[in-house]
Amino acid sequence: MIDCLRTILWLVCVLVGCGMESANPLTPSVAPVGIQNDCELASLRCSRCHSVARITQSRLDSLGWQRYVHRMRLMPESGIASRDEEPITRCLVFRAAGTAGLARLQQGNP
Amino acid sequence: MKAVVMLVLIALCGTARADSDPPVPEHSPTRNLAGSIQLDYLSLPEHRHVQPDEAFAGATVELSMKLAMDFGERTTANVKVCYSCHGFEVGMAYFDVRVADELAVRVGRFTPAFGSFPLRHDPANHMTSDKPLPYDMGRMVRFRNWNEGVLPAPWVDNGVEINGTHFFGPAQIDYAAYVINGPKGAANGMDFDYTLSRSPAQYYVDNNSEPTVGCRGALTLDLGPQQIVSAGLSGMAGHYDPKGELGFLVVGADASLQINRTAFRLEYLARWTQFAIGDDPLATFKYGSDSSGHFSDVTLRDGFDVEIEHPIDRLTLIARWDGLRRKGNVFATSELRSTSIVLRYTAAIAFRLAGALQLKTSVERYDFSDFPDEVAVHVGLAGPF
Repeated sequence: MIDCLRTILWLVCVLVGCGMESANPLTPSVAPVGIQNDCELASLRCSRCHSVARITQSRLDSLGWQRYVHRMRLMPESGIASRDEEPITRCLVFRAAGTAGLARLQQGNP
Repeated sequence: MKAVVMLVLIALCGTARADSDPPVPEHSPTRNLAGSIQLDYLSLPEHRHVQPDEAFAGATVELSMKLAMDFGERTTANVKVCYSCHGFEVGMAYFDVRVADELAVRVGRFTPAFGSFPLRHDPANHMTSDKPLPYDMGRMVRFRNWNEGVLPAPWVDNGVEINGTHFFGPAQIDYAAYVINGPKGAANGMDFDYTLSRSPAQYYVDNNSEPTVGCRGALTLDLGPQQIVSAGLSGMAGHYDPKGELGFLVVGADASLQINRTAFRLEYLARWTQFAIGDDPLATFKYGSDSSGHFSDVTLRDGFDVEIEHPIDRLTLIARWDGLRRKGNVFATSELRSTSIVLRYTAAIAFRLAGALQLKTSVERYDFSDFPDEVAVHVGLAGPF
């Protein structure tokens, strides 16, 4: 009984914590709305298997991100559909190279 | 069997192409080097002079390095070496050959698809210092009495796996089927003997020339823009003794709900393991035959894991409730009984210090049916590179 109460107490603590706002660390502070949406998607998909910090601390160029997202998509149970690949790449390329990198990506020359 | 061979041949020929693939620039082979390190200190404050047979109290390090190489769009090779309690181990050495989203073939040494946690088994990818009890590999208190969890993670084996994913609308179906060497055990064994998996006597060679087979299926649904629910079923069966006479069956079920970056996870594993009764079971085992004179030669080992994980900026809060149960006969010398249970309650906080380096702390309460209860405290550092 005491163990049950202890479990419930922990769950309550965590649920209270869940109520606290948490900014998405992937979303750049200044970014177009479209990129913000892309980064929300990237955060949702990528955090299924690893922390978002694993992305924010990686130093890749635009081409590197394009290849990496593709590679992650092919991991079993990645949850990244082919339709998700482009927006996730857009988010990460914008983070790495800004609007110039995004423009090169859209021209097919990252 | 013919169908499997055909699928493998088609995949290796690699003549098909996934129409749904977005364009990715052609490139020469690329290499990617990654890895992770975790240094963890386990303390049992209520238990002085902890013996190594009871728990690995003190500092342990787990480190891994992985080299991934892409040969164009369809073929990838991965090699991962780990250094931890067992010394150097090869955790991965395989080729992935991909025909389409729906068909890929993995050949070599890898972690076969079973359950949900193994996808996050790397210490840099899960927020607690240790693994859920059903997947425990030497981190739980009294791990020698229990002989580890149901299926210790990472379960690494040699073989072939066919896997694939199909996306339709907001849903995704994943499948995997594999043939591997399987676990090893002694001829007069009671359970798996994990030390044989890395013993110099055979290293990574099969002990009974008989493959173990397994499969997994999972369904994932996008419930909304920031909500994902998924559920999966897994199974694995084979024989583990040198003569191929002692069988086992492992089944697993898992479910998870992700709302934004908050994850709720639920997992259950059960393993039925046959053991050798021998010539004199009354002297060998603690319990005798049932009322009809029959000696049961099967044990059941099952376990569950329930956890909630929620990040708040640099902090991640984790609450976990997990447990193990073992039912069946035991050796006469064992401290376990015909039914033994351990429940564990964990409250953990992971704090991102700098970069992706995490400070992991947790307090765990072990509630044993056969031993005094224990409080365990973990403090560790973990991060990828």
